[in-house]
Amino acid sequence: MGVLIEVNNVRKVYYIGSLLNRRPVKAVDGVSLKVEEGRTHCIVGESGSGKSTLARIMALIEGPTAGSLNVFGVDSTKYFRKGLRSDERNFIRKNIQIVFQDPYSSLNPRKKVRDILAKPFKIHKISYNEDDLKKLLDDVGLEPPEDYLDKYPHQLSGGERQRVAIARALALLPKVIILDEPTAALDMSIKAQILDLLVKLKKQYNLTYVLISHEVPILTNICDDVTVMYYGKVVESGDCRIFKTPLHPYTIGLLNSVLIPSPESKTRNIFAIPGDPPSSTSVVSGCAFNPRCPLTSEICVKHEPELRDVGINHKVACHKCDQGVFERYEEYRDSIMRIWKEML
Amino acid sequence: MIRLKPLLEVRELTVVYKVRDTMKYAVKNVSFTLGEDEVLAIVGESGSGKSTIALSIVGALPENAVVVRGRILFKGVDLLRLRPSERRDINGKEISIIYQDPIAHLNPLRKVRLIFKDLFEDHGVEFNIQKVLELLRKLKVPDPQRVLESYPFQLSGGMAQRVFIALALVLNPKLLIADEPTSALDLTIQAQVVRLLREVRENFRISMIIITHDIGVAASIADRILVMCDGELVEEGSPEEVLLRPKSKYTANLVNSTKTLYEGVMSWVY
Amino acid sequence: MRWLNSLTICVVLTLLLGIVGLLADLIAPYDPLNTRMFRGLQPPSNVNLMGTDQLGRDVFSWVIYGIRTSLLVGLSSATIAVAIAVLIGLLSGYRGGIIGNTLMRVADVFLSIPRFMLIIVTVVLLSPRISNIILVIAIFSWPEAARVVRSEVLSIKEREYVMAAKALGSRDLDIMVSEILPNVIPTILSLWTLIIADAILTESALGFLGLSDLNYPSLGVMLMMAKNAIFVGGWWVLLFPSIALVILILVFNSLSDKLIERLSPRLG
Repeated sequence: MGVLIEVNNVRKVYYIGSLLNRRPVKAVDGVSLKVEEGRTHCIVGESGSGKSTLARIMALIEGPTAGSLNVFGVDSTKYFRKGLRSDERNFIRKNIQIVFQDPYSSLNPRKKVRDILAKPFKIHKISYNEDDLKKLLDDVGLEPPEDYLDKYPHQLSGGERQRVAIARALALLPKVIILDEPTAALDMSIKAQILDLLVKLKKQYNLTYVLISHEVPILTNICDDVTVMYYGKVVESGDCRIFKTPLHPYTIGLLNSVLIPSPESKTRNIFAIPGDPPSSTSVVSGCAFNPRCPLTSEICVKHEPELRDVGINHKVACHKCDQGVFERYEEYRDSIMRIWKEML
Repeated sequence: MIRLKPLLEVRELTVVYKVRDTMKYAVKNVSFTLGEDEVLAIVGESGSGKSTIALSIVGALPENAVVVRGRILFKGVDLLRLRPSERRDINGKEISIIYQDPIAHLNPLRKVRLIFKDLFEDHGVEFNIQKVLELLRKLKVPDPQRVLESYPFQLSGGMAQRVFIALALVLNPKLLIADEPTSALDLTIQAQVVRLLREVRENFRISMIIITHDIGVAASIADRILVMCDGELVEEGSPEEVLLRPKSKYTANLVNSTKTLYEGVMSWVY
Repeated sequence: MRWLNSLTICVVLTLLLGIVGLLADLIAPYDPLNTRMFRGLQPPSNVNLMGTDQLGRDVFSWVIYGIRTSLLVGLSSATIAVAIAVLIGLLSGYRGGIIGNTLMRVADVFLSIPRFMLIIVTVVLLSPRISNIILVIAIFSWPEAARVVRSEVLSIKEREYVMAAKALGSRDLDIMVSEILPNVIPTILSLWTLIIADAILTESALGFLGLSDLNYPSLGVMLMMAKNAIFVGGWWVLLFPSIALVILILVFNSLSDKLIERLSPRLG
């Protein structure tokens, strides 16, 4: 399977503050990952992890400050500096599309659904007719399509708007669709429906997804590859099996924080990782997670951990996570949770 | 078993919104009771009317909303028939409400200590700073003195939420309403908030109504769950009853779709 | 009783005023500039519905033509000002860069000097011809509008549907015209009507100071006459032009509010 998008040590820095007092904000701080054809690559992270910035960079809406991004084998800097022939540029543009989180603001409130869906065709000067638009609406489950074509976004529900956003991304049959928190703003049952839709479309059109979310439950159902981000860096990555045996304390903590709708939840102790995530402007020494980590020690405060291999297709950036001492994985995990419970 | 008089009794509540020239039913004939030291979760999707119920209880309905029918009895007194001044007396003192975004609801120009002072003065109670400090300590706020001297925007999200809860609890209300306390928050912060609410319940023996669209949140904290759909109350029961033996079709569908969502994580629970 | 809502009333009044302005030649009974038709300072009567001023001019006719002048100056200068403001606001808001920022600094300079002083001085330096007055008002009105447009553009530019258009491959010009501009239109319309109201007031003020174009009767001129007329009991010289001016300004100010209210998209 080919690698469609390759992110190499990408950094993105923003500057905030006034003219005389500009402070850098490291939104993405050295992230590398590979998106392989036909697979769903999930990027897990919470606010401040840099995932949305990474999404915009991968969707070629912005360029990285440092590092490189290869899409379909082409260096993205060429894309931004007009170093490509126009047909190459169009090819790239057409084949990476993005769906945003907020279905309320990702559709132009002054345009009808029909205009929103026609836009991709118009921009790339591809002829289309009403049947093409209807088919798109059909594909995303908005039936009967005639009813939706002339509606404005404010006349649709959140789930319906998100479907229109997905249809828009699908219009030119891209190879890769990046989804930035596609279900975060939706109600629970709609989340499930949208997920089903995404799975169906992936099979139908041979799509490759980059799915970015902090909602762990939806990711565990759909992912093939996973990258976990914290404060602009990758802390754990690999294929979906890392959800069964995560090694990084943040990943373990995250999975344990999920509030499960089952009767046992009432009596079960709720776990929450203590402390708050670092704010975007705070300066952190060593490992960004160390103030909240149960395994923290001197080396964690002094040195940033590097991403290293810990198994087949499993990388972790941590000085101290090493299952080695424990025979079974569960013991490793339990020991970490024990320390954390005491911290709480 | 002796049936204790319920703390809150909502009877046949019906609320209508006037939008342009049409009327839309937000809440249709909803009745339920809440006892002392009981936690109730009202679960529903957006537009189901769950928030409207909360707003009706605290009297914060928008201008275009009309309570067409019903009574809301709090300790036997119908809140809907009270004069605004009497209603104000109750809000903050007997019934408190917290929202999702604490910082948006705190005056950014006033130090936290003064925000508390204002609250005491509004209700004609003498300002007791020791009580505030003790409360903040109970809510696990580190260095409460410093927090009191800070401005809201200087606090981290988790800290601000604790201050907000402290404001809601400091006058010893009997009922705390939390309107979508976890929506749109990160996973770990959601867990923190629910943990905090549980601690509040255990430490203060207070009745709570949690409004949420997340069944996981409801299951983690509620004694009883109410399910709303399109303004109607379609299900009521303990978490076990609602999740394992739902009586209404809507609830059954809801539970099923969430089950598939959480499948990957359920087996993983520690 | 939906038809009673304020936007309708505003629009109706605006149209009425417009008709008065357009058909001034037909409606006004006498030539307003003619000072030899009647005796000075006659109270309202069958001959002169609103009386005459000290120079014997029919106040009613003057007010009719005054409304026309106000509307002429108001609409022309506002349209020019808004056109400039939209252009500069869009470019500097969306593209930014050196040109955009410089233009905003220029606007700032304009804004920091008392506007009315500038207008008076400029009109005095040029001659008080109607075209100059329109241009001067326009030139000193665009900066504020441009700032407003720019700030709207800045915030719309960050909305996700603009990013989506970028991701689809839209060019900058297309994005500005097709995605951003339609969403700025409510603000633009509101600004336009506000500038009209302001321009009407400014034009009248110039008239009051004697700086108007003598061929175009200004309500302000009649108010200037009223200054002296009141001392000898000529209340009609003050009352009627004032009412006309107040109505003009009120109508356009309200129109501005109602437009923004009605046209802003419902966000769900």
